[in-house]
Amino acid sequence: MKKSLMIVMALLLSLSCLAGSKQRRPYVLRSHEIALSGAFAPGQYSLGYSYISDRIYADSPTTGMYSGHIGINGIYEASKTYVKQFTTGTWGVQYVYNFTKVIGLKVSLSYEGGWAKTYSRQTDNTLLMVSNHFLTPMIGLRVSWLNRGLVRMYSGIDIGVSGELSGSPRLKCAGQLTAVGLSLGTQVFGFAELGIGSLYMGGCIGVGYRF
Amino acid sequence: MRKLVYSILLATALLNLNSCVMSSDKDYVRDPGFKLATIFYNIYLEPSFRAGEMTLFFDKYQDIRQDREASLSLMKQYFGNVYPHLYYEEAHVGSHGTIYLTQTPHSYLFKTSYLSKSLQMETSISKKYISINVSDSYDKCELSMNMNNNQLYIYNVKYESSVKNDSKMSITVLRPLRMTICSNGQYSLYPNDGLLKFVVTGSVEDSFEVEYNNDGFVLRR
Repeated sequence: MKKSLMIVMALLLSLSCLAGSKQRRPYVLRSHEIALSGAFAPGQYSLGYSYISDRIYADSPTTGMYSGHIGINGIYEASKTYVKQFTTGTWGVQYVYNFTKVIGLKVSLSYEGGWAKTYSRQTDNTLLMVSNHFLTPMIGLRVSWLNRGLVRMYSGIDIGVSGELSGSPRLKCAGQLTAVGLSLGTQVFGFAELGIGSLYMGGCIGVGYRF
Repeated sequence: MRKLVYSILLATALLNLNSCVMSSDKDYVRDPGFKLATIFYNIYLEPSFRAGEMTLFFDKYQDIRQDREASLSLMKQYFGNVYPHLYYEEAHVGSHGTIYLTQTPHSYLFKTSYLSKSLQMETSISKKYISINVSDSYDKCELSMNMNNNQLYIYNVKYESSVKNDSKMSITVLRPLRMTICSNGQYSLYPNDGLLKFVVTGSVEDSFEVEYNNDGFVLRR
């Protein structure tokens, strides 16, 4: 997490320096934007979803209370193992249509995946792996409150649905609030966002193209 | 050129930041006995004390239920200023759960309100004794309780796992679990005192003692 924050800060600083070194240029409206993004602290995981728990409980053949529904033997077996959870982070592709330099409509599709591996404490061998995947289409409103030749700053809100693809598919409501977004560049641009929601809880960075 | 450099920088940062380990319990070594004792306390023992308190109250309430003021006063005496969800057939207290009247006199059905999956217990009270059976789809557990002054004591526990081919666990009460009965909304999370011996037999063999105090419990092997 520290590493993530340091990279975001380094990016923001370097991009800000670049912006500062430029003379102010008039903003030129380009209606279409496409972008790819990656987020730290993926939303589903950060909001409490565990890549392991639901899958194991759902597959449980019994309803005994000794939790994990694995019985007394299971508890002793579990003590011989340890679990690591991995995530792909959240990756997204988005399209923004700028009606004016202030208002834009955004549609996006994001993916978050994760898996949990159970290892033997004795041998460190993998004993079990379960995974889960979420696909989240969203539509949103973006308000750009600072528009310079090279720099745009904006805020936004997105809503959509998040589909859990593994096991028995489930749909749930999804939302994302972008508190502050900063993009640097004219046609090719980089951007960094801070926000909370189903996609990410914290920061997101990406690259895009305007035309 | 500069655009290209920044794009590469961003892409590299993205790749670095993803596919990371979010959590690991490799360094967290758990004593399975401690886990057994913790779950057993949270699922069976603590709810039984709550069931016992609700049973005590609800049984007394049946004698005075025609008198609403006296009934509410009794409820306050046990649970403090709670929303008076109190009917002839049932009573609900947020910190405890809901108790229901049954066809059998002095026998009730209690459901916890705070476990993710509601635990259902059949309780019956006779003079100073309360017996509790966990029903529903949980593992079978029977507890015997008595009361003395303002104290509840669990003096007998029987448990049977519902998992097929699971090991057996027997619990012997070496010293009854004693908890002060709730008063004016003040209730204890752990017994003031008590000592249980857990013996696991079958494909797993283990035994240990668990001593309870006001702050929780200590496991001894």
